[in-house]
Amino acid sequence: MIAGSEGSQRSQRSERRLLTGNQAAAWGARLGGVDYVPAFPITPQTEIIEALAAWFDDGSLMGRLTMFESEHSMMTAAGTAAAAGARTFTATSSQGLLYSLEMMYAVAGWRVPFVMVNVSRGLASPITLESDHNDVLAARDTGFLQIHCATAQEVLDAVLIAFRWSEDRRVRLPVIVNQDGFSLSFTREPVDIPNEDAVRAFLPTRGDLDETLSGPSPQSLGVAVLDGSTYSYFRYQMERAAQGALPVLLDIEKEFESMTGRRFLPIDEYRMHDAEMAIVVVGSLGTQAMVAVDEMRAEGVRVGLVRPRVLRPFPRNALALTLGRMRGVAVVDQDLSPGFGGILHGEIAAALYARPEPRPSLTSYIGGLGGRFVSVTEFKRIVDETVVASITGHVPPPRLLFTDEEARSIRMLQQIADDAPQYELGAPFASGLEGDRA
Amino acid sequence: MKCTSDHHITTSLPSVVTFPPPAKFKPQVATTNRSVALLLDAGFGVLRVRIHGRGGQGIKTSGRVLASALFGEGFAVQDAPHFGAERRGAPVVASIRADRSFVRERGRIEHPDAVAWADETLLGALRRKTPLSTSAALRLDPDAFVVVVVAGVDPVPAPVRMKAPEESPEHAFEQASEQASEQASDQTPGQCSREALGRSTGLLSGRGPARTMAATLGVDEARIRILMLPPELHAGIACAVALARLCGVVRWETLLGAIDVELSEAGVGEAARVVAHRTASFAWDALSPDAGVLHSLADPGPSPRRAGIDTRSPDLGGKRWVSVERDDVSVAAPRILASRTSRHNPTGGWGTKHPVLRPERCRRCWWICTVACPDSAISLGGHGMPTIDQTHCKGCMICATQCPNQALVAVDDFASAEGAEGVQGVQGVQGVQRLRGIEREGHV
Repeated sequence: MIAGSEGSQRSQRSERRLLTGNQAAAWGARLGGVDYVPAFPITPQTEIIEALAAWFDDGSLMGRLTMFESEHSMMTAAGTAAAAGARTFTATSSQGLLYSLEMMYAVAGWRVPFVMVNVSRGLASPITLESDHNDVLAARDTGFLQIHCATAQEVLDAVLIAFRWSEDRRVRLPVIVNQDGFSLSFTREPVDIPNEDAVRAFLPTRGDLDETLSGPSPQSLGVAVLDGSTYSYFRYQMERAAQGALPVLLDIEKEFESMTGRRFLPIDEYRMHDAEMAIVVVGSLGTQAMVAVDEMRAEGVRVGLVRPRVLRPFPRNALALTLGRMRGVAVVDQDLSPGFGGILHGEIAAALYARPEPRPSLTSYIGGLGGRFVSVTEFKRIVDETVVASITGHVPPPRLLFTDEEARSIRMLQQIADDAPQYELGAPFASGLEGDRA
Repeated sequence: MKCTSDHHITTSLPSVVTFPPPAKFKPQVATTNRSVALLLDAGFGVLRVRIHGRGGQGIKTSGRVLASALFGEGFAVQDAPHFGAERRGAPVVASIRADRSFVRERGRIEHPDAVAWADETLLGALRRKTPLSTSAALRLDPDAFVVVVVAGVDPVPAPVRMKAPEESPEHAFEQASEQASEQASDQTPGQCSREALGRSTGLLSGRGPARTMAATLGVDEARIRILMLPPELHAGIACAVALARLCGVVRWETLLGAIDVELSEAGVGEAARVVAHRTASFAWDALSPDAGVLHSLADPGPSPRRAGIDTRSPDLGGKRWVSVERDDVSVAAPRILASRTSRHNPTGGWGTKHPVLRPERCRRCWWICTVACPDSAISLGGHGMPTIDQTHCKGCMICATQCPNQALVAVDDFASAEGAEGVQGVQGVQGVQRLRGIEREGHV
C-alpha cells in the first residue's frame, strides 16, 4: 500500500475525464496495479491492450504485456500467471472469446483469480463487428463470474471490484467484465478516475501468495480425476464458491461506495419503488431503457427498469423478489439461442418460477443483435404490449424486433443480389400484429 | 398479413392508455433544483449533432474535438464514432450528444439538431439512384441545421460570393450530382458541384444549391450553410468548429484547447496542428453570424423538440414492427453473389492512387493483371489490352506491381496533370480523378 502523503486517505481528488469504454477498462487495470497482461488483438477490444502497452512502455505501469499467437494461449498464460501470484488482466471479444473457451473452463477449474474484459460483439456467421451478448453468454457455464456494464464508468469500477472479488479466498474464480462493442467500447463518456492512493487502500497488492505456484514449489494444476465422485466434488466446490460470491460482492461493494460514493449492487433498479411493470435488460441498452422509463413515467405509466449487473452468479433471489411483485415483466435479450429464444428470458423465467402465484406476465423480446438499434419508442411499445399481456393474461410469443423499414431494406438487398426473384418487396414479412394478438 | 397493412402499433393498442389508470399528469415545470434535475434526466436540453465524412478524413478525431470542447465547457458528453467497415474512404459518422447531466440515450441520432458533412460527395453518393441507398436515409427534421463543407476550393479573388449559373440555378447542384453519379469515371461529384457552386471560399449563400439540398434533406433552406474550404484546410475540423459555433456555448480558447488535446492524443505533428488552428479560425469566422443558433444547451427550457428522443413520432418513428417469418434457405443463408452485389457498390472512391495503362508498353499477355486484381476490376478490352473499371478499383496497385513490363503505373489521385505528364493512356489522368474526399498529405 502506498502511504497517503497528506494524511487523509479516501475519496480525495478523483479526476473526471472523457474516456471510451476501452480506455476505462485500461484505466481499471492500471489503477488495479496489474502485473501481467497476456494479449491478443481483436476489434473492438484492441484499444484496451494498446493503451496498456503504451503505459508499460512509458513506465506508467511496472510489469509485462505479452502478445500471444492466439486467445487459446493467451487464456492459458493468464491462468498460469494468476496461479503464480501475478495480478493478471486480459481482454478479448467475440470470436477470440470462443477460441479461448476450452481454456476458460480449464483455468476456472484451477480456481485462480484474474480479470478479463470482454467487449461484446456478435458471432459469425454472418460476421459483424458490432455488439450483442452471444459471445459472453457462451461463457456463462465456464465458472467465470460475469459483470455486465452499462456505462464507461461502470467498466472502470467493475475492473477494480472484479480484482477484489476474484482474489477473495471465498471466491477465487476468474471474473469477466463485459462491455458492449461500439456503444461503450468506442464511445467516450465522462468518467471519474479514482485517486490512486484510495484505490490502493481498497485493492492492496495480492495477499494470497502463500499457496501460489513457483519454481521451488511446483504444483500440478488441472489434474486428471478418473472417477465421478472426485470430479463431482471439485465441480460442486466451484458451484458453492460461485453461489457464495454474491454476499462477498455486497461486502466489497460497501467499501467501494465509501471510496467513490457509487453503488455497485448485483442488480441496478431504476424507478422501481412503486412500479407495476418492469423492463429487464443487460448492458448499455440499460441507459437507453432509462430514457423510455422516464418518458412513460411522465405519461403516468408505473414502469421501472431492472438491470442485472451480475449474471454469474445469477442473482436469482433478488430478481425474484423485485420482479415477482410486478404485474408484467418485459425481458429484452440482446442475444439469441436459436431454437430456444432469449437466454436472459429463460433465466428470468426460472427465477420467477420459485415465486408463488400470481406471477407477472413475462414477455420476451429479442433486440440489439449485431448492434441493431433498439429505440426509446421501441422500449415504450414493448412496455405497452406487456401491459396488454398483463391485463388479458395472454402472453404473446417472443418478438424478434424488426421494422417494416428493415424488412424493405433486406428485400432490396436480396433483389440486388438477384437471388430472390420469387419474393416481391415486403413479402413475406407479416406485420405480426394480428397473429400475435387478436 | 402482409407488409402492406396500414395498421399501426398505436391504433392497435387502444387499451394501453387505460392501464394503469391515467395518473394525474403533472406538467413538469422547473421550479426547484430537484425538478430541474428531473427535466434534464428526462432528456430536456440535450444537444444532438452528427458529423459525416469518410474513413481517413479524421472524422473520429473531429468528433472528439467537438466533444472535448463541450466537455471543457462543463457539459456531460457522449461521443460515439461509427465506422462500420473500418476502411479508408468508407462512410464514417460521429454522433455527439451533450447535456447538463449524464447522457443516457444511445445509438444513432435520428433527429439531430444539426449535421455537418465533411465531404459533399457523400451527399452526391447518397443521391445516387441505386437501390442500396435511399434518399430516406438523408432526411432530417425541417428545423435541423446543416453545414456542408466543400473542401479543396482554390481561392479566387472575386467574386467572393458565388453567382449561381444563369439557367435553372435551383437545379445546379442536383444536375451536378446526377451528372457526376452517371459519369463517375470522368468527373467527381465534388468537381461538378464545385463548378456549379462557383470557385469561392467562405460561406456560400447562393440560393440554388441550398434549395436543392433543402429538398433532398427535407430541411428549411434557410438553415443550410455551404462552407467553401480552401484546399490546405481540414474538412473534418471545419465541421467540428462549425457545430461548436452553432451551439454558442463553446468559447474560442476552449475550442483551441480541445483541438490541441485531441490532435496530441491522435499523435499528429505540429504541421497538422497549425492546419487545424487555421481551419478553426476560418470556420469560426464563417459561421459567426449563426453563433448560438442551436438553443438546446444554452436554454434548456422545455419545448417539443427537446422533450426527448423521437417525441414527434406517434409510434416507431413512422415505422412498425413486422413478424420475421421463415424464408427459403436459398435466401435465408448469408451468401453473397459477388458480382451482382458489388456492382452496385462503387468502391472506386476508396483509394488514393489508381492504375493507368501505358498502351505502348503493354505486351498483351492477356492474363497477369486481370488475374492479379483482387477486385476483378480489370477485364480484357478489344485489342487484348486491359480495361480498368475505375468505379470499382480500390487502388491497391497490385496490378502495377505484377506487370513485368510496367505497363500499368500508379497515378496519385491528387497529383496535378503536370505531375502525370507522359502518361497518355486509354484512361487518362482525368479519368482517374474521381470520387474521393480523402485527406491529403500534411493534413490531420
